[in-house]
Amino acid sequence: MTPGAAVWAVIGAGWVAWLVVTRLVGPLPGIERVVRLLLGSWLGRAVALAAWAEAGWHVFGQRP
Amino acid sequence: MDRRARGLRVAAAGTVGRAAAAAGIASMAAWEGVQGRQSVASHASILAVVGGTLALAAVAGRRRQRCRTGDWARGLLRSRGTAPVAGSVLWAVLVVVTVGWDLASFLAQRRWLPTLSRLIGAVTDHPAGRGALFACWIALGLYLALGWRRPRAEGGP
Repeated sequence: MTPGAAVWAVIGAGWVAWLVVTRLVGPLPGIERVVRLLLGSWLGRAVALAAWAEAGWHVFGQRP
Repeated sequence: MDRRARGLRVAAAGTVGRAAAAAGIASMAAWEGVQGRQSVASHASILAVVGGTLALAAVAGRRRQRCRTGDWARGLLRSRGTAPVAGSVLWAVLVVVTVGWDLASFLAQRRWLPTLSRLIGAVTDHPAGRGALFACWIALGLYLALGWRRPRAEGGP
């Protein structure tokens, strides 16, 4: 594993750990609350859709 | 009785609609899986999915947004207690670290510093991986376009 890949593994582990913690600890906002907060207004929804479109174009249409 | 029958009809139509959407996504993903990343067909299909999803968000979501952007922004600034604020900050930190490390890896352009898209590219190089990820991407787009809406009868901004 390259040093860069190791850093990605640590970042990925951080995401998983935080997802688990927010599911177990009630007052902490979980991923559903964050997404619903974003989708609560047209602005947040537009930003999320723009990021989604750009990610799709990059992953499926461009050379990584 | 009439109301119950109408409710059942609406539920059945919803189930059929969801099944049709799932079948459509699966067949599109299977087709996309065998397309090359640089092919015209692939680019056209991505643009079609993006355009269709944005149109769906505008049409199906009309007057069904939960709140106006101004109210939403004011709500973000309102204090909600220590735990929710600390939790939100940690979400933001994770996003910033992920984007920051991806950007740093991209700017460095070293083989031992892969970008996130290069890691994902290892999956999308295979038709099954590309197709499965494409299906997930469409499903996410549909949720972002249609999810967390006000029920149709309530109206809204």
